[in-house]
Amino acid sequence: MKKTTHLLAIIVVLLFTSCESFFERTAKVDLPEHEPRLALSAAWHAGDAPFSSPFSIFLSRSVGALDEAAPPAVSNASVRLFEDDQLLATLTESSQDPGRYLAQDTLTLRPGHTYHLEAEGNGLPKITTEPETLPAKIDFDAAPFSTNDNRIKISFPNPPGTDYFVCFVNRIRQGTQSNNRIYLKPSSNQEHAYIQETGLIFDDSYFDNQPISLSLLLQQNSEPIPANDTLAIYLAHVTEGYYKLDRSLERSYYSDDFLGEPAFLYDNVRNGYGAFVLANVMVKKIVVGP
Amino acid sequence: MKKILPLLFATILSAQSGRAQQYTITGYVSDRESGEKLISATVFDSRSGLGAVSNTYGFYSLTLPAGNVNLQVSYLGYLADTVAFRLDRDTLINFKLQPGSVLKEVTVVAEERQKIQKQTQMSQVSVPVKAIAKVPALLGEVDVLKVIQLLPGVQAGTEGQSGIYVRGGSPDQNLILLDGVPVYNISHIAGFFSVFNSDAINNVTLTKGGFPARYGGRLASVLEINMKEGNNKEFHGRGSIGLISSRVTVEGPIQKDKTSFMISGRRTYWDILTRPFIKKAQEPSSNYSSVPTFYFYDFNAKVNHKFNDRHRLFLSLYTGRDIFGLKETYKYQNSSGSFDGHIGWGNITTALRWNYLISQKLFANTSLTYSRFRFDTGFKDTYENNTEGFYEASGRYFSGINDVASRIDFDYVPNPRHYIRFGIGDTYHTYNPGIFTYKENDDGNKFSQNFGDNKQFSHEMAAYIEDDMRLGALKANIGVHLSAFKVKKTFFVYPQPRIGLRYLLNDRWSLKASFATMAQYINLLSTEGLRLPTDLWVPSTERVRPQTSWQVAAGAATTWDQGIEFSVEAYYKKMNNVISYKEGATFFNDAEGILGTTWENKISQGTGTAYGIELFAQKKFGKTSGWIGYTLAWNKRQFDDINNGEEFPYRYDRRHDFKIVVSHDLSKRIRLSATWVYNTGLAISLPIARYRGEFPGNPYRQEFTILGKKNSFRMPAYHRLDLGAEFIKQKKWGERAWVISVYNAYNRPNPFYIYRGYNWRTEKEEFRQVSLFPIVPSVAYRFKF
Repeated sequence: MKKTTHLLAIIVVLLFTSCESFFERTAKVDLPEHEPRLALSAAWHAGDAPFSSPFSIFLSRSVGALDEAAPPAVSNASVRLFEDDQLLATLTESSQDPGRYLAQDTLTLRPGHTYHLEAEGNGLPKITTEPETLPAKIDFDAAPFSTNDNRIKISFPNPPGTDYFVCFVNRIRQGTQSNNRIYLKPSSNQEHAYIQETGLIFDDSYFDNQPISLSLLLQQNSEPIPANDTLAIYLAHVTEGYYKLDRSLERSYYSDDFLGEPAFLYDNVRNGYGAFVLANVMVKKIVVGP
Repeated sequence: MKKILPLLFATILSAQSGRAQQYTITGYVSDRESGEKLISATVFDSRSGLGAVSNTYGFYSLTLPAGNVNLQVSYLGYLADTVAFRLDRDTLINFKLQPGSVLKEVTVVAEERQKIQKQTQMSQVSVPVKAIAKVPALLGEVDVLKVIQLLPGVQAGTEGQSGIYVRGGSPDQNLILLDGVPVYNISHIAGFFSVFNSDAINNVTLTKGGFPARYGGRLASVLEINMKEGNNKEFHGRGSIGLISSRVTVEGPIQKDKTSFMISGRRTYWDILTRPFIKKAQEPSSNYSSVPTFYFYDFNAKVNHKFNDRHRLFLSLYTGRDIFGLKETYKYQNSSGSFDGHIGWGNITTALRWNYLISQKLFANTSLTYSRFRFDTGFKDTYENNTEGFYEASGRYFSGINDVASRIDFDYVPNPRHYIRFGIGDTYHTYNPGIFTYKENDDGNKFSQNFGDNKQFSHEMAAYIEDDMRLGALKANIGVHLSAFKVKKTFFVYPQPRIGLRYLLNDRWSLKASFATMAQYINLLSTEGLRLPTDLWVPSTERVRPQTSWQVAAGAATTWDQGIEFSVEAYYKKMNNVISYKEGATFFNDAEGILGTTWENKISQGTGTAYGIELFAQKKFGKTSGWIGYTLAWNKRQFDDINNGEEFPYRYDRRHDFKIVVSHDLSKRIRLSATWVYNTGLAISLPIARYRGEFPGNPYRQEFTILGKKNSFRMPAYHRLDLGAEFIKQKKWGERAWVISVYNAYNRPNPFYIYRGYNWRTEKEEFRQVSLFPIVPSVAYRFKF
């Protein structure tokens, strides 16, 4: 009996000492050693201000998922921009912002032309982006908006083929430069339209090659917009890569959810990481009527 | 398809003609002591070498040439019965078999018991209920689905879960029938226990492939669970008292040999046991009280009435529910308030069945069934302040699915060479994809609003015909299942041809092959990692096409000495329009934007491919019984908008899956049992790199994480040993047993999930593994009288 008691006591002690690390412990996962690569990020908007800034990209060096160090910016790299496979510009690194590479102020990208980037440096393998064709700027009509309205209406022609768009509206308070995003949602149950941080993102498959007409509802509980405030409506005609990148960014944000399916960030950089995407933006301003 | 039906009928007609005078023997095979029907009992005439097998209702029909017959009836675990007589007219004989003791079983098993190599059906396993009770269980809760998980070709999902993944399928692709009624939610407590009370069950059969035409509606498997009918001779009861729950079953005659009943209930009592401790933990003088509630219960009932030898009526009911709740009250100076919230879910199923023996050769079963699964959560929050006034808010959310169905099935046995089944059925589905009601009263200012999708409705219709035919050494089951589905203005029709072949090489060995196509019209929106009661059942629609599959299988079967059955099967299955949540999407989140809250926007459809080899050896009787199963399998998925359109391993793609289940009777009083399982680790996605960048929507430069290819990494392998011992003693009033079981006997930390986290000891980021169940000893007291 005494022996049995001792045996039980030993088992209990063993159980409880091992339980401390039983429920959560270091996982034994066969993760290959990370090989550092160049990572390029460039989401460039042509068109109306404030997006008509000089063409630039940012270059960093990837680190392993578990590395303590932050991914460092990559300086002294060679970054070249090609138009229709012809060298268009060699970008130079910003002196104030290491890792940022800029083109000349005078450089313009032309709708309908195809661009790609190459970069190498820091002893890392050379990277090349998938080609992106700059979409045409889309002129649109915006209906007048009065302070009692709860929807903003815009319409524009639907270019041939599959096209992708991002639309958002900022409110500029009268007499100030205060610029606030207005949160909107489509008034119809339109498929393939998503409300994201960047705005309303959608493709034109819903419109079946017909002209596009959007009726955007102010979100419930929004205050009425006073007369004489200005609404700045942004319509970006974006590439498929831009659309995929934007969607994957939104999804990856939600995949932090314990139950969420893993979301893979869009990547169009060969031999490295990152993405190069393009958009062309039209901005229209309307003054809110009484 | 056009050629199959004429061929079928031509074969039947040719079989009918040109025979000597024949008569049909029909009847039921049942347990002599309880009157319980025996399913798949063999009735065999040793003179002609012809035989039949009893169906789900214990009914058999055997047509033989006129003359002397020597009928032998056998069923595993029962003394064989033999009757010899001269057959000169159609005859009705009901066989009542005497249960044999375990030690006698070796001698009572008749030679002509339908051995595995003689059955046409392949990819099917019947698990004796007695075997289920012997398997050691988590916290002593004997669980049918946990035993099914121990069969080859069946994956268990993540640690502790009751879901089953059959031959590369997902849990919603299993048709789980309780007395012929689909059960939509099979789990308690997020999957750790199944809803099936083993004391109320008579029979369990799993079909993984080679589906006969009578089955339809799901791609992966059919799990048929039949409840006991109730002893029609005398009253009996059984039950158990365990660490987390108790259960009791009572059965007996209402009118001897005519009407019987069975009722069975199970309830957990953690909430009752812990309540005093929770109250004690709260300050007696405190103005705050908090009472959590958690329990689940199951209730099964069945009544059956035998009008005469031709008519029988069955009424069965199952209901079960999980409740998590919290009640709080508080008082503080001039204010007081309360909170009362709950989360609950559960099923109700009912079936009314009428067995009608229309003639000696034609048997009909007509069923009216109802099945409901409902998830609901609600709260009421009140606050009152002498100066600020009164505030009350309440909300309620519910979702679920209801089915009302009717069907009629016929068994027609024109002669011993043909066993024809045909039938039709219709199911009316009502889907509730989630409605939230919110009410608020802020000192007289009232506000209320409803959110959510509208209900959806659909009709699912099916008709089938199949013939299990003998052609010398070749047996074939040929048939077709025709199903149709109507949702709104969309209509789908899928003819699904089926064929199963068995060729008897000699008395010991047979070769088998099968081909089956399947269609599935309802889908479960569920994350790959974990099944939750919030998972939604939704219909196929114009945008979400029905899931379809085809599967081929081939194998061999034999029975070795000492009655050990052995089978080897290879299978290849292709699935189309399988569904998955899109990347980042879950039931709860809004990754798809405002419009994305419509469930159709959250899912993606793709293809699946599964193939593998299964080895299975089973010994069903004797002092030592059990089985060994091994599966070598591959399981892949492809979706255009997941993993950049590249094919990837399914989360439950386990290359190796080994299981052993052993039970040994040391004596009449002591029984030992053990199970050991080994699986390749689950396929998971992990981050492999980080970089810095700036992208739209994120005006500031930030870090981005790169995931490796989807499911390109593996969790550590899963293995676990469970042990059990049963100490049985006969008492004047019946039998009692102390059951001791140890789950995870060597305390293996099997991974439940893996995440990137921080190790405070090493002060480094790393991948962390979360495990659920260490060694869990338990004890239960079982009794029967």
